[in-house]
Amino acid sequence: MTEYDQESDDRLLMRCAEGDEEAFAVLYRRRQAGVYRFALHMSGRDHVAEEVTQEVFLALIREPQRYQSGKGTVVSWLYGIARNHVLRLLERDRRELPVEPEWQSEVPCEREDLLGRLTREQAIDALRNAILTLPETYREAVVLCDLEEMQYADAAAVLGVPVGTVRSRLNRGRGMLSEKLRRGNAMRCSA
Amino acid sequence: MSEDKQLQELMAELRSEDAARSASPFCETRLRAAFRARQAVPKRRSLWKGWAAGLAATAAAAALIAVRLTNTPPVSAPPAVTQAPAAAARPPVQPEPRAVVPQVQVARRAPASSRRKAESVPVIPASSRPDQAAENAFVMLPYAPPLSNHSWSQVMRVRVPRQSLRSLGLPVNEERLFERVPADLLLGEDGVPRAIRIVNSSTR
Repeated sequence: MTEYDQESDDRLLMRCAEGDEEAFAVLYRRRQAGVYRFALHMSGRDHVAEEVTQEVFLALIREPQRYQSGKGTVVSWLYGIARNHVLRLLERDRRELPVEPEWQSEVPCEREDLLGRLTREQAIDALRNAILTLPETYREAVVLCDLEEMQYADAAAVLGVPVGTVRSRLNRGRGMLSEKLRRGNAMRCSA
Repeated sequence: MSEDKQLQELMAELRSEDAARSASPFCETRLRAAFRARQAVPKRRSLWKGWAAGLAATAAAAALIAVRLTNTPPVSAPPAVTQAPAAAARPPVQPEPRAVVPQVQVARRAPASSRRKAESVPVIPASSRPDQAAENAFVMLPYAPPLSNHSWSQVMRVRVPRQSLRSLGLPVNEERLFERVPADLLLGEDGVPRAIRIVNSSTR
């Protein structure tokens, strides 16, 4: 462990701005995985996540002075850049979202719960799918708070909205996820 | 169990499943090259900002399959290769299988006799026929700085993942993406790769 590993993100960013490559490497290794996972969960595609991660840290390299400590943490700044890139890429490559499964009537299942008879892997895949079909406004709240376990204040800084808005979007997103998973399970029961 | 609790448990499972997901080591290599290129550019006012950004992007793109020439060890060693799960088992909307992160191995350093004047090495632009790389000609790497006809270049034999070659637009066997294949890198005097060719039987 080097001395850099004990430095704060702010201090490392300052050193990056002064041309310290090792400080950049430590900051990159510390934060790249979270940025990558955020982009992956938002887009569902590895190559988008890789591209976004690269763009985020290129922005850090080019303009480290754009970070303002009063507006949030370095993490929220990096995620904010990632969010902008993800939304831009999603808009550019507007993908065909999976069509909601259609059914004529609901058939009661033996187990009326979210998971039904799914294996663990199937359940995780179902959740991953369901997150990708959420509207982006709710998806980013769910990804930041539930998957990246970000504090509400940091998520609010990333999204540029009040904390209360983050909470309401998160609750709404969770409700939509539960509904999607329940409906998906109902379709499987009727199959 | 309430739906909220079930959902939270499922979220925890997904977090655990994806905890190890991260960018490839090539991303760090590209970024560090961009960082160094950025430091090397004099800080001038906005007239040449485009050049600085272009230089950083050039260095970052050229470092896609960069190999260190110096004796110092790599700053960051890529992780061990992990096998990607079968893509066929996943439904169409799933994220892509976990990317294999293979290492670029230097099979051998080319002997001194392989040093030659840049003008004597046949190189075709990347925008022309990428399948030329399957033949004897080098294909220029995107955004690589041009070779001066009067500079020395060097050919280095390496092993690169097919996946990297695909990203350069070269034809690869999609079923063997995670295998490494021998390739020749054309390096300039500055050690920055300029072009690549796949090694086939005629170039061994």
